[in-house]
Amino acid sequence: MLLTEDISISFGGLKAVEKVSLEVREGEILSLIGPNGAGKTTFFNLVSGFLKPSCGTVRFMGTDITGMSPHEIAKKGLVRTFQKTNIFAGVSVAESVKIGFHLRRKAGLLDILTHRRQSRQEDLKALERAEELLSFTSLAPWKGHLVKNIPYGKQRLLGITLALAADPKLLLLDEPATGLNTVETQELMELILKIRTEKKITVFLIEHNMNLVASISDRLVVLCNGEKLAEGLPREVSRDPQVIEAYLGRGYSRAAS
Amino acid sequence: MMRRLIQALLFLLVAAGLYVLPRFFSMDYYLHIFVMSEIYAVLALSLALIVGFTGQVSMGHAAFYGMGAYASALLSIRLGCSFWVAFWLSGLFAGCVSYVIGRLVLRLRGHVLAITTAFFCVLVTVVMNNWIAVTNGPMGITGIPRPSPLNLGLVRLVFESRVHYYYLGLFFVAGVLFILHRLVRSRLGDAMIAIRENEELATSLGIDAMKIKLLAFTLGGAIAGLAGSFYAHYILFISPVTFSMNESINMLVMIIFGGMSTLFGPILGAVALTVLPEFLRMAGEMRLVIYGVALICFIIWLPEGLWGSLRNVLLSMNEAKRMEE
Repeated sequence: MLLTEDISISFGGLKAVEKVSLEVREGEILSLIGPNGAGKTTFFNLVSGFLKPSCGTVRFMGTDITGMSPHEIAKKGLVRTFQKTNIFAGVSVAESVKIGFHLRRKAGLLDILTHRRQSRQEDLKALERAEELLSFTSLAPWKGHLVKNIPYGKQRLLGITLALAADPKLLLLDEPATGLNTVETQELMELILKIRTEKKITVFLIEHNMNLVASISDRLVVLCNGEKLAEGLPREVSRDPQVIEAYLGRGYSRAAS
Repeated sequence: MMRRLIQALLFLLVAAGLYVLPRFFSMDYYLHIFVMSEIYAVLALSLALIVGFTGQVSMGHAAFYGMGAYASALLSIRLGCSFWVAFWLSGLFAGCVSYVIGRLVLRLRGHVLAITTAFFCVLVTVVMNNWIAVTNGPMGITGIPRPSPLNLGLVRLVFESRVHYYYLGLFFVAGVLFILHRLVRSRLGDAMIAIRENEELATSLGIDAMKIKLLAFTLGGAIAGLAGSFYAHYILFISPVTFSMNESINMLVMIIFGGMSTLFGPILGAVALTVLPEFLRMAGEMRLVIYGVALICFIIWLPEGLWGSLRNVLLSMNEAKRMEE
């Protein structure tokens, strides 16, 4: 579904991502893990168009999307969330999801100014679907509140809700569990599984929380110092001496083997 | 249903009020203030689309206002266009220029964008002052014709006194308000607000930020151009001083005062800041000081402006009431 071939980028002399090739298969939940500074978020930025790779190609559903701008890539069905809490602070939760439906509403300037029936219906439908989506992510009780006034955990959840509104085929989640407590993390895991089974959306996520990663991922990819270190089933990867070394240091890997 | 009725009644009441207003204030002095309020209302609304809704701070709005005024004056004097043609052409002209300028400057953000648009405004004033063959320099352009009489079947509308301009201006404001009202509540309006709130997030959701910003900037510029044309054919004389940076700042102050992320706020701000200085005339030199202090107070305590703050209070009261239920 998503295929990267040898993509690289460096900032000054630092090789942030170096010749990374990987594949995300349709219907799976794939996790990208690695120590801090491994280049995981940079990799997401390269795939979603927020950064342009200096070499290599990114293919999504058979088309080359290397160097496309983020909004074009989102339009193709590859939508990402952010590691930091990125929100539309000053609007209500429902309003904010309605904004997320931008791609599914088609009215042009002329339709709007002439108040075409089609564009009015579209607006009503967007509100309706926003409500549906909010109950899907169990944010419905918060819909009337201003986004900046809802709790942090709910804001994180809203980030995912917005991305879902943009109608993704592949959803990139950048550390969705950051700052969540155990209960919220549990709920998030259930939501991610529900996104795959009910919405038929493929999920590719970066995560630090090994508990979460190991229990929901079909496969893992490990990134270290900008390079791909290992790839495989969670069970295999967690036993890989190279991975243990990257996470815990050399002594531990010897002890493990 | 009940709400619809109340809205319709309110609308009729306001319309009737505006209709009879000149009967009570029939002195030319008052009427002039009313017409200027209308022009500033249009300018403030068009600037609010760019600054308030889309979040792109422009300090160059007076440039588009001025270009509309000059285009319209020159079209009618040199080419003999009637006002009714020159009006639309000058809007088109200002819109085209703002599209080109927007293309160049809208990739900039925040302060840098504000400073760049300010320089553009200065640049336009310099051209107006020095391109004497076309603009007649600092002397300005005189002898701009009034709008020609309009034959609408049964009635013939003439534009000779200030009352006539007052009524024409009402239609102008209403038209702009109507268009912007539809726009800001639509998918494109949502996209503008998204860019104001968080451009990065908006982009990640498939919103083409450059396109939407350009739309707001171009439309805002075009409407300012229309206002310029109306001004030129009302005052009948234009000179570069009228369209200086100060005027851009004046418009910004209006939308800050009234509340820029609403449609009523800019109108309120425009009317208040056109009427208020007249009351402050007796304050003489102190006028600008009072103005400055008021502005600082607003930015600190009422950052959403008069109308914006009032609306927020009403909204939170509503929310509290709903919580109780």
